[in-house]
Parts: sequence; structure tokens; C-alpha cells
Amino acid sequence: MIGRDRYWVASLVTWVVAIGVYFLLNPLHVSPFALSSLVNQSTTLAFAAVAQTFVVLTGGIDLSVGPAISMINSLASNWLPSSGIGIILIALALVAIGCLAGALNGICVAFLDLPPIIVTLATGFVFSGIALFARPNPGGTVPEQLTSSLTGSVGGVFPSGLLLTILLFLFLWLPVRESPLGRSIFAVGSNERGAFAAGLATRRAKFLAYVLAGGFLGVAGVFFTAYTATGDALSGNVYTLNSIAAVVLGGTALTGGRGGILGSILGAYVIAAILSMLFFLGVSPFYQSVVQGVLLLLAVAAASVRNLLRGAS
Amino acid sequence: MQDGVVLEAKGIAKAFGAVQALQGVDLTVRRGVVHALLGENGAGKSTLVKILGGVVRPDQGTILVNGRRYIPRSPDDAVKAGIAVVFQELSLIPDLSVAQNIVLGQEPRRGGVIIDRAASRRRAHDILTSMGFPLPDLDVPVRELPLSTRQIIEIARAVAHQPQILILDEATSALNIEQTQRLFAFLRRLRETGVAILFITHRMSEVAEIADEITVLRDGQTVGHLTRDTFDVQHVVELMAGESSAALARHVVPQATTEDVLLRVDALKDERVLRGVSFELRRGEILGVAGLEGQGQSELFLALYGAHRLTSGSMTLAGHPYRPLNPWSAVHRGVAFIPGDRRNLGLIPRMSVRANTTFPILSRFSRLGLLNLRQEEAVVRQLIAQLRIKTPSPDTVVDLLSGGTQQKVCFARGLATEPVLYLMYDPTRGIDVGTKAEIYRLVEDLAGAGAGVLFFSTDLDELLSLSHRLIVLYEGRVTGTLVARDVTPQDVLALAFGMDRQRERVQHDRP
Repeated sequence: MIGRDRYWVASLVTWVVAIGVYFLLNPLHVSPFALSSLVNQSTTLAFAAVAQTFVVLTGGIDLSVGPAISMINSLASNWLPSSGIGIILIALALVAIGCLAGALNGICVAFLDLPPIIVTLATGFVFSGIALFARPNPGGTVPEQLTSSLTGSVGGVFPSGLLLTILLFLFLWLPVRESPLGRSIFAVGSNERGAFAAGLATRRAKFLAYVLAGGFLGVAGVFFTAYTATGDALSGNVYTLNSIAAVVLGGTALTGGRGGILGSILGAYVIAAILSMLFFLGVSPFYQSVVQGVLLLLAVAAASVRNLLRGAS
Repeated sequence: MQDGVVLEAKGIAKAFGAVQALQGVDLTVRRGVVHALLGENGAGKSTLVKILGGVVRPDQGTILVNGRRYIPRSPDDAVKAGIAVVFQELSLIPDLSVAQNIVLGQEPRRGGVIIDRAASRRRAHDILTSMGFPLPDLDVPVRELPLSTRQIIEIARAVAHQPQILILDEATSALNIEQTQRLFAFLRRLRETGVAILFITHRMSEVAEIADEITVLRDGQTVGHLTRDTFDVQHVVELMAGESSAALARHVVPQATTEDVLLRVDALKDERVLRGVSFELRRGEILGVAGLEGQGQSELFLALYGAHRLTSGSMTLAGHPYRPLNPWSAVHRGVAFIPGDRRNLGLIPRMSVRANTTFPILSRFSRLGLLNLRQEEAVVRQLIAQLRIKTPSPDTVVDLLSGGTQQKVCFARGLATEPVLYLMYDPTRGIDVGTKAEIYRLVEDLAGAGAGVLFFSTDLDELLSLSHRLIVLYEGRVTGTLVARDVTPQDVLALAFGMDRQRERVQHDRP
């Protein structure tokens, strides 16, 4: 089946190496706190990458990932109450808004047959506009309860962000992958004409992939808000390109139909780990993006070497 | 270089991962000879062609061209050595014009820099004319042309290189009989000039007609070499199939069918091609569709499957009005489509046998949006056994299977929905003899169990032997309805070429 393709192994190996080097350089950092902070640096990107993966699997690309996270973040900083059950309700509402944002993309791509790259570029501008409207200046208050529960640890050891990631993986991705919807998403990305000819509801599959992506962007936005503890209409924008990088590092094919979210999550952890490592080494931010770019090129090269070895017959 | 040997391959071996595609192939090709390369699907013909064409590098073995060691690193090296290959998969650039495609890579230039369009067009025109296929418009993008014309352009591009060895890998698969004849006439002229032609086909009649020498491959090895004098169809089939000699015997004429009408099609028209197609298909009947390329058959099939827009006309299926909006609704009315173009239309190549088989029936295994994988696997395994699909496991990716096996997966998907009507559009294209025989039996069984089968094929023999009745399409209309038992290929061809109007009326009156 799809999951038996070990597309994600390379990213796991890279992550282990990166983390190994990180702790080797700084042995004092081996602690629950260090683990938690690594996870927290990775989690927003992991969710953004998961969102991107759903879209990429259908053969599309989502350029509205960053602006959508910014939008959720800006709205969150306005709406979140300081305490109580309202926090949970607002958080769920924000996830629902993420779904709506995804649905907007999905309608344009699946039912109006517009190219994903243009649609999401355009809706990205819209989301950015909403974000700036909601939060013209950085700031706002984020409840301490939200930050501590999402960025803390369960039992002081296990990081909440990682737990959330694992729960979503187990109880959302695995069922979706082995569902009519999941099959359809892979089929559409692999051979849309063939999927259509097989009698699959291809438009519905594409639409729902974007809605799922939007939901994950909602989760990413809420986590980002908890992590940064502030609202900012622009700071989420880096996640557009980083999410694509994470997807590629994770072994999902940008042409669609092959891959999965496990690789993307690992890819996100690789990027975050390397950025932490470079930060720790005192490398200037300029070189950080150079390193990130080189890493991405290596990942793509590794993927094509892998294909060559398999023998393209 | 004795006996005019132009190409000599010895002990060629090649493995792809665990699959040993070739293990000791010998091939000797002489100047001025049409040399047929035969073998069932998976015998290694295409791999050998790819090696000769510089696409794939052999693991072992030597190749001599004109007595000199030949080690191509790219298709470009092959061309330089005088070898031009027309591969099975079309490799034209869809958005370039006919002329641009033909001269691609060797464009005539003005002052050595700027491409001379007029000269390109002249050259393309000359080549096509010399082949016997003059095309009226050389500036049209090839994407707008029918498959058969694209195949001819593909051959023209190879010919443009003026090769010493021309390799044609199933180059006639999309050509109709008349086009094939013209191509053969050209190949004979080319042979006279001393060019060697290596020719791969699944049609034994073509081999009998044009081949001077024959090499037979089985399981990646050369198992026989014959010349025109020693050629014998039965012997070749035995060589290809190994010990278990495959039955190529002409099909038993099927029984008459019930009179119960399953599908009634009345005056179907679309925007361009269909100009009023009408016919009836009965339960338990195999209704053959014959016609030259581009007479509306593909549009008809797609329209019946909800994938082609109609402007007028009506259909009833099992007594109820039928007008599918898309394949999904066609499938849900009990219609299955088995295309010959498996890789694009039939299958999702990178997904498993299991997934490809159960796409239309997933709702059967899902509860609350989750799939019961065990239940699904049971159904898939049952179909694999029923159709004798040669796959290591239900979870094998279909891309790794041979063409014939892939086609069986298409059939498995069709069967899974338990349809009342099968639309089979050239389902045996590019499939080996053994699998073809199995498919014929299957089609008969399906009809025998009461399903209706609408069957199109580019292979006229196949159509005549399998169908109960036959409709012939010409310029978007049914020009004749024939009882297959009573007709000869000549009768069908006459209608297909739109020549026999008199006869058409007579046949029309007979049910």
C-alpha cells in the first residue's frame, strides 16, 4: 500500500544526524527542557508542512500557507479571552476559520478549475489583508493558559506539541490515508485523468484536500500564537516556503500522488533542528538561509539519485 | 562485416533491481533486411530496444555496429552511430508543430544560427511524402492530431536521421490497416536502399507479410531465429510461449443472443465528430465496433461513459433513460469502461493492484469513512484468482507489472462493480498472445452471463472472431450493421472506407 513506500526514511536519518550534532556541540542541552524547546520550534512548521502535503499530494501547491497562519494568529490575538473555557472554543473556531480558508482555495481549484499556484497566491494576498486589518500593529494578549498548555510538557517530560502532532497523525492521517478520500487524493495527484475515468469524484477529493489543509493551518496558527505569545500580521509568512521545503525534504513528490505527512513532519523537524544548530553556533541569519537552500538542493538530488538507482524503466 | 551484417549483439544482459529483464540475448541484423523481433510481453523486447537506442545501459554483453564496438551513452550516441528508434511510448513534443517535431535536433539553419522555418517545412514535407503520408498542414501542433498521425510523425522523425538501422517498437499499434499497408510499402522501399529495419509487433499477419528474418525472445533470452523460408506461425507461437503452446486458434463463433435490448442509442451527435450514431445492444451480446481511426469511435465510447459532451440524441439503458454526466454516474448505472490506453486512462500507475481494483467500490468497504482493509483484500484476492493476475501481492504497484497484467487489473476493476454494460475500447492493445486468449474467454463469459459488451478493436480479425454483430462507423455515423459470422474482413473494410452504400442499406434491414 501507499504507506509501505519508505519515502520518509531519508528525512528521519537527516534529523537524527542533525540532532546528534546539535547535542554533541552542546552536551549540556540534553534535558527535557531542551527537547521541549526543539519541539516547540518545530511544531508550527510541522503543521504547516502537513497542510502543504495534502495539497501537494493532489498535484497542487499552496502559497497561502504563511498568510493563512498570520491571519489565524492576528485573529487569535484579538479574540482569545484571558482564561476559561472560551479559550478552547475560540481555538476551535480558529481551526474552523482555517477550514473555511482552505475551502475557498478548494472551490477555486477543484470546482472552477483554476491553477493552484495562482489561486493560492491570490488568496494569500486576501488572508494577508485580513491579517493586517485585524492587527495593524504587532501585539495583543495571548492567554498564559494557552501558551503553557500547548508549549509545555505532559508530566514535565513529554512535549505537548509533539503529543498533539502524534495524536493528529494517528487519529487523523492514518484513517484518512486508508479511506476512500485518501485513496482519491493520491489517485488524483498521480493520474487525474485516470482517476476521473475510474469513476472517482475527483473534484470532491481535491476540494476536501484543501479543506483538510486549511484545518491544519488553523491548528498551526493557534500553536504559533501560543508559541510566540503575540499577534503579528506578517511573522507567519515565512511558513509558505519553509513548508514547501519541509515537504520536499520529507520525500513527498511535488508532482503529486506520492509521499505522506510523516515525511513532512520529519522534514519540518530537520529544518527547525538545523536552524537551532546554526543559531547556537552563532551563524548569521543570512548564512542560515544559505544552509537551508543547500540542504534543500541536497534533498532533491538525493531523491533523484534514489530514482536512478531504482532504474527508471 | 560478412553477409552484410550491420548490427551484432551478443550475450546482452540487463537487470532492473531484482527483475532480470534480459539474460543472454543474441541478435544479428543484416543490411537491407526487415528483421522482426518477437516475444510475449515481458520477454525483453522493449528493454533490448532501449539498450540499442542508448536509453538503457546493458550490464553485460557486446554490441558491434559495422564491426565496431558500440557503447551508446545516450540516444544521441545512437543516432550518431546510425541507429534511429521509434519507441513504444510516443515522444513527440505536443506543442510543437509537425514540421518542428520532425526536424527536432537537426533543424536547418540560416547562417548557422537562425532556424530556417521554410527549409524545415520543406524537409518535413519531403520526408512525409517519401513515406507515402503527405500531410496537408505541417504547422499544426501535434497535440491536435489523432494518435495514428502522431505515430507516423514519430516514424518520420526517426527517418529524418537517415539511419542505417531503423528500429520500430510496435510502431503500427495505432495505425489502421490501410496506413499499415502504406507504411509497409515505404519500409520495402527503404529496405531496397540497404537500410536494416528491426520491427516489433504483436500482429502475426504483419510478420508474415513483411519480415525477412525473425528473432524470438522468451524470458529475456533469444530462443529462436527464423528466415522467411522457414517461417511458420504455429512454430513461432510455440517458441514465444515455451512448452505450454498458447492457443492462437481462431475463436469459436459465439452463440446467438437474446433479443432483450440492453442499450438503445439514438442519433447521438456531438460538436465535431459524431453525426447521428444509432444502434442497439442486446443483453448477452458482444457488439463489435469497427472503423478507421477518427471516425467517432473514441467519442462514442467516452460519451457512453459520461466523459464526452453530446449536443443531441438519446440513450436508454435497461429500459430507462441514460445520460451520464460523468464517469462516476456511469459507473453507478452499471457501466464499466476498459480502455486500451491503460497508463493514462485505465490505471493509476503508481498505486497498488488493490487500490486500482477497488476505486469504484470503496463505499462497499467503508464505514464512517474508514476502510475495512481485510474485507477489501478478500475481494481483491478473489478477483486476482479469478482473472489469474500475475502479481506478487495485492499491494504491488501496478507500474511494475507487464502490460497484459495491467490490462487484467483494468478488467478486475470493471468486474468489481458487477456492471450490466462493458465498454471495451481496444482492450488488447499491446498485449501478448497468451493474455489475449484469456481476455477473449473472459469477454465471452461476461456476455454469456448476460452482460452487454460494446467492443472496439483496431484488430479486425479479433473483432470478427469475438463479436456477435458488428457495427461499422464511418464519418460519425453507423454505415452498416453486420452479423459477424457472415462477413469477411473485406466486407467490413469496404464499409469502413465508406465505399459500399448499396450494401449498407441491405444490411441495415437485417437485425
